[in-house]
Amino acid sequence: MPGAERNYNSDKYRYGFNGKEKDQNLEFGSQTVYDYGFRIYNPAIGKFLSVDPLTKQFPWYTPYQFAGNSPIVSIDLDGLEDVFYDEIKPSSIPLTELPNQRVVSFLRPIGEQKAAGLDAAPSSGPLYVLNPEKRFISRQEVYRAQNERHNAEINRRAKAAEGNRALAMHKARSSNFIATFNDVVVREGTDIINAFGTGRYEDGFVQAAFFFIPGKLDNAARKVAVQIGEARGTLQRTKRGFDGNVTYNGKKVDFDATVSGTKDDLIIDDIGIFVENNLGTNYLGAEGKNVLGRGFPADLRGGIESQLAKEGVTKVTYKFQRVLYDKKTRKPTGKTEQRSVTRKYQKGSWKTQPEG
Amino acid sequence: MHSLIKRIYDLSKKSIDQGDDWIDIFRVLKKQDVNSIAVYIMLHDCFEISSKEADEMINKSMVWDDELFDLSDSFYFSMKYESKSTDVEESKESDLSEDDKAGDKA
Repeated sequence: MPGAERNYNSDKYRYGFNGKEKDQNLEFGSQTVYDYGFRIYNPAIGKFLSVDPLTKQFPWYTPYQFAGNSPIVSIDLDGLEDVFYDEIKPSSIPLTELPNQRVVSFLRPIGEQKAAGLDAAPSSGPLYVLNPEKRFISRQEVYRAQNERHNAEINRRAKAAEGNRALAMHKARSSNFIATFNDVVVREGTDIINAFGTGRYEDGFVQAAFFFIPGKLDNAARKVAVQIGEARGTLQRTKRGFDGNVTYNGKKVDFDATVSGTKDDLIIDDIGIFVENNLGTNYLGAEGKNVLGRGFPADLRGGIESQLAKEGVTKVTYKFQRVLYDKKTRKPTGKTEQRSVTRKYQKGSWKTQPEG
Repeated sequence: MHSLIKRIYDLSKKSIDQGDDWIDIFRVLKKQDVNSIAVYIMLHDCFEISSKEADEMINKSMVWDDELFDLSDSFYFSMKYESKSTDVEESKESDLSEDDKAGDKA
């Protein structure tokens, strides 16, 4: 008596390769395709029929790849990315670093998960096990972490670009400016306040000063002590100019400006103030006086003018590119206006000249 | 002394002598469109209040919290309203640290 016929590939059974639901109403050389959720897979050609929605995050793969081109060690969970079948191994990858790692996760029957000492599985939704924490996280959590990291990187680059734009403005405004992008010193977390805008630059800004006295460029670089208020620091003249720095009110402050003219009629333009601190948010320019105190400008000017007097400068005009703010939104309007103040050195002291 | 500083000093002195609080004086000055740098200079130069204390008085009063200044404004007004000229003090090379001196030679 012949045994009962056994058919392990029954057409009536809805699920097939990788446990995905079959759809037998399409063509492409095979009457069977698999719906992976995000894409349709055709086993006859071994490819998905559409581009991977995550292809931009995985540029090293063809947009039509299946299971990360590693069908032996991986499965394709839902048409997005490959999932490794692997044993639980301790890992040092924290959740916050997920976006930089290939997400090593796997699916297992609930019984095996419990046997492996994992947390109880959520009742619904796609499940992943993150190895180091031995807990379930949803794909949405993974994507959220990826997006946060991605957005943070975009913001970092935008702020670096902002720094470079500020540098370009400095260069454009000063024919005496010599520094190039090769002079850029990366200073992580440096907050910069300058005359025409503020921002927190994660990297990419010139630290070299562009403050020099015309006619003295050939002199050897030297550094002199300078007193700014109660803070003592240095004012260094290099072949490019001067670079000043002090610790003021507990904060490291670097300053610079564009200088042109002669000793008898010096023009200081675009004074830039660089402040290092641990703030996690951007400064507004309007907050500058609150950060350093209202006495800082006068103190800084005193320190600079002390040095100018020694250089034989008798008259200096400060020019300011004033940022105009919208009174309602309190944000810069993008417009500026020019202001200037002239001071003369007479009988051992600097005095502001009347306007007009 | 700049005319504005003199005017607000006279007003403030009179009010203080009458027993008014600084916060009330600040509010009056604010209504007259006097900015915080002018008030700071008045406190520092005329009442001889330390720069740190003057800053704190202004910040704590919160009267000028809506002030839209950037640092260039602070520079500008600090010079415009300055009553005391900047005396030049001789700084000494000995003020430099040994590292700085080594940097000079380099």
